[in-house]
Amino acid sequence: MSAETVRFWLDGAERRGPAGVPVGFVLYAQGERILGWNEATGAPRGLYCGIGHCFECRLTIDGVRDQRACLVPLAAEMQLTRQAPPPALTFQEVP
Amino acid sequence: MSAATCDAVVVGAGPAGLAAAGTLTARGHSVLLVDEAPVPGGRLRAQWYRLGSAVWDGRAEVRRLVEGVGAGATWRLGTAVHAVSGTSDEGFAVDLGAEVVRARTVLLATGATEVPLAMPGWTLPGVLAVGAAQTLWRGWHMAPGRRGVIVGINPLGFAVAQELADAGLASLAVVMPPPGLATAHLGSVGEQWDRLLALAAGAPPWAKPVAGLLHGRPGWRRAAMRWFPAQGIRVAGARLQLTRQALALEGADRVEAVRLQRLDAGGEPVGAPWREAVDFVLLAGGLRPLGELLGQVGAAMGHYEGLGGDVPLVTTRLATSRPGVFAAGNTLGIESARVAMAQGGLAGLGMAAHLGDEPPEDAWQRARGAMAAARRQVPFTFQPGLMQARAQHRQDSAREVGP
Ligand code: FES
Repeated sequence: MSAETVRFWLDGAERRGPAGVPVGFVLYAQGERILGWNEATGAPRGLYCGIGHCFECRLTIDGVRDQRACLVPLAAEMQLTRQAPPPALTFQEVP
Repeated sequence: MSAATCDAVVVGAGPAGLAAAGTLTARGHSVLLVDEAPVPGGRLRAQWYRLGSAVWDGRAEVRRLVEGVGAGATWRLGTAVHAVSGTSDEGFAVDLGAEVVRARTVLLATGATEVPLAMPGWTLPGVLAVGAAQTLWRGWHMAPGRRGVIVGINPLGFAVAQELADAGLASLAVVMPPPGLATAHLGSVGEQWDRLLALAAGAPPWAKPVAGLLHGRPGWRRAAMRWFPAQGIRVAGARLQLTRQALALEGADRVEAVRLQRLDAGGEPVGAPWREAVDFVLLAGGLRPLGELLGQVGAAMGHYEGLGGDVPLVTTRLATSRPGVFAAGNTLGIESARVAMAQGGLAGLGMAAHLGDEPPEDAWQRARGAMAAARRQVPFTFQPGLMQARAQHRQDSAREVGP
């Protein structure tokens, strides 16, 4: 791969990867299979369709939530953040 | 040209959209090309097939098509279309989120999406749609993993298996999907066999080992299943295991194993299921035309299993029932990238004509000739019953939207 290697950040940790390659693929190749957690169930999710259709690969990228990792090319100093699993749902008795 | 108004907006920069844009710019029309992906080419980028002694290199084809578009187009890559509204007379409004573009004609060339095989465990990280593995490897030279299986019998699955085997990356087993999926037509053993038969009839080089199995007498399916080797046969560098069914994908926070079941000659389970370790799984459920925007503009649609699902009814110029809205590529039915390009060329001429620039007869003849040639050259049949479905679609279209 001839792409330039750049520095980026995953959950605050320093990483390096090929610029221009969608970040979802970069992370997959680096062994990062979990990209987030389903909001309803908390189950781990990762790259699936690779083409922008399934929305399972959503990350916070440079502060913007819910960006599809399979569509956003890696750029230098990019901040990638996995969106935390939701706190356990609590139910209240409705009076 | 200012991006805010142009003659034509092309939604989808795959083989159909690029070919249409090239046809339009060559005739001097201003075009805006939009695609969600950061790079042009769509699924064509990741295609790489051996066709006899020749090679079909998707990337080279994309380069050629992009050159053909030339400087007469404005690009909006990495950009999603939120809505298309209005009419040709007042100008369509194409909402790109950050801007709204006006145009007198619109091409919807949004391609296809993979049919999900929603089996137990399919949302585990490490389970990929087979097209994602193709993009990983062919697009970015990254391997999906070391040991995996493909669930479902599908040409895209075999193409990916071939590429991974050629690269020495992984030897894949191709197994049957579990029973009782919501996408029922994919799930039954009989349907999978019919699919395989349709593939073999298309006679891609890798289908040769199976073709012999399938020629046959009454009851061929049962007979073939009976003496189908349990370890499978080698097809396209993969082990095709028709007498094995994946019941579930398992793992704690990523896929680690697949639970398998042996099938008898009638497709019924025999013996106890067992687990095999994997570090990735590819789901091959087949392709389905993607047509949300067609629904949004209210184009007349029809449902054709042989074309992969719901597709718009179109004239022979690929005009939909909404004046000024055209369709081309896999959104019109699942066929090869060559067919998509030819459809793009035809739609480009149709859009030019709609703009008042009626192309000469020889241009139409060349475009129709390219379409016929593309259909003769298909490397494999994607959907059983494609021919009949296409004939029915043509007939319904002529009745509903005209010649
Ligand atoms: S992997 Fe499906 S949208 Fe990104």
